[in-house]
Amino acid sequence: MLYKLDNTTFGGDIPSLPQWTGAPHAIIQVQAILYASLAASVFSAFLAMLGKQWLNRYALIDMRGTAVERSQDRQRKLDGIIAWYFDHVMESLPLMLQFALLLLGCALSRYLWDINATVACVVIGVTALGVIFYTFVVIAGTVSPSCPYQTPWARILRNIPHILQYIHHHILPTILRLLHSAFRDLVHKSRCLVPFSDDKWCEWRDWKQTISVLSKYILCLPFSLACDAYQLIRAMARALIALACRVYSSIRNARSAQARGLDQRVAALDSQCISWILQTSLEKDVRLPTLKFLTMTPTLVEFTPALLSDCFDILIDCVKVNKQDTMAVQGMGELGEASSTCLFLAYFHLSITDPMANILPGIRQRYRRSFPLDLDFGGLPTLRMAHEVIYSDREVEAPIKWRGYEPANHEHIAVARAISKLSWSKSRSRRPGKVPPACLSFALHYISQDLLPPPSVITDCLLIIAIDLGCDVQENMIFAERCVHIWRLSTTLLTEIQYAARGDF
Amino acid sequence: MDWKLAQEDFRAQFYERYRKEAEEYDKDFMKKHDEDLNTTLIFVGYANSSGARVLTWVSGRSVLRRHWCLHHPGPPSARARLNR
Repeated sequence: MLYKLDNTTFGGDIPSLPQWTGAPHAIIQVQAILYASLAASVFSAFLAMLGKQWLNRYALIDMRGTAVERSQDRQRKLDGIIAWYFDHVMESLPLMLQFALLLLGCALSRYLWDINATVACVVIGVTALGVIFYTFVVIAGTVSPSCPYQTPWARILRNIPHILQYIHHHILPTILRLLHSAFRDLVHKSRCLVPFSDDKWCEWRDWKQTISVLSKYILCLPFSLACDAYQLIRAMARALIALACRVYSSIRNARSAQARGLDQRVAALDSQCISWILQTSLEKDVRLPTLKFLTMTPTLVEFTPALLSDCFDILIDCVKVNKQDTMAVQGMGELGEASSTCLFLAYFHLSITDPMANILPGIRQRYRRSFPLDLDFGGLPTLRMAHEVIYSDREVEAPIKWRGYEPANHEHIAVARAISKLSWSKSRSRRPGKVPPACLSFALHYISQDLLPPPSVITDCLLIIAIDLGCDVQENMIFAERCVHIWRLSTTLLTEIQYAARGDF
Repeated sequence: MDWKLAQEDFRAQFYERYRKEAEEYDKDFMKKHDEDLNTTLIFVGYANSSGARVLTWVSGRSVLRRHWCLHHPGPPSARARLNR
């Protein structure tokens, strides 16, 4: 430019334009791609080494503690592996390597293209073939779940409709609702600014009025912004205070949990261990004692919802429906009975403690598909009770036979307790003071036996009879420690019986 | 009291079975992941060596050569040519 402006500065010499002396652009592109490929493969190597360390840590068993504590520690680590998507991270390593390989192929093709087109064509052809094959494999895996050529991408793509469905059903309506309310607020504010009635609102087209409205709106903007800023700051302050309160309460809860002892945490780990073993093992010899142990937990504290699904899966394996009858599969009678008892206990517990649990509708739907309303449950009275709970919105008239149902004491206690709770909750929704016939038949059957059941079962039977007689049975008598209230119940029952006897005479 | 004892008994039996199942499961789990990671590391080794070789080959005129001086000198710069 200087030469163009004043060519006398350089005398007779004509300056030459400086040339770009660095690497050609193609080489820079190729090197960038190659470095990206190298970085991806080095990063996957780094992750693989970390993965080895994580696995070693998982395999490391604490040498102290009882066998139960060690097992619970192992379960805690396994739950962490699932909760933190360890498998997904491990699956991402081959993906990274495939990506690195693709980058290498692209870089090589680009580099060779400038040197020799024929050689480049070979590399491009091989790379394209690899890409096409991989795409085909991904598509085949996505379309057909039974296809043996499964890849992580196929699984991701298969899940996309579910994700979209979730967005469509849950996220989108929320966003639309928010937008709608925001728009409504805006319209409302605008209407407040305009001194029109609703009828005149439609005559907004008059440009003078429009300008006056807009000018008012614009004049109000700084004030509105200030108001919004104030509201925002106030909301943030509230959120911070709420967060601080939550942190404080969680610390306090943690301390109180520590003070209460380890019972709840231990119960939660028990529940997770039971769920894991039911999912992992298909052996009857393992499942049966596991289900028996599940019935030993009378209150199902810290209940894992997945247990419900596990119990139902086992039940489906053990019980078949033949026309109107249900019967256990040959050799699976005991397991079928145990699983139906666990299903009844677990479903009833979850429907009381967490009626909005996500798992409940799915189980209800599957159960109703497998077991229609009018069925004869024969030798599976606990399944009949589960039927009563799951078909809670409809009147179940299927007969129940308690004769022949002679479970072990622990199972009997848990079932009796659940039935007394069910009787109490049903008596609230049905005619006052009336319990379902199945529950009453349970109480009458076991209270009238020569060999009486355990005291806890007798208490529950008395409670059921008391509810049916219309006695004033309070919630805490059912759900809290019954021993405190049982003397009141016996007094009430005695009065009731005396009253009935006087009436008879 | 009997209830508690029975519960402890059932619990001990259950955890004995759990331990056996867990041992078997963990053995398979470790083996599977260990093999996967070994395969990944072997593949990474090949990918890295071939990638680095191609990079060295391409880097006859590397963009990093001025800083690292790992490769043979490239063509002289414009300033050098001007000085000459």
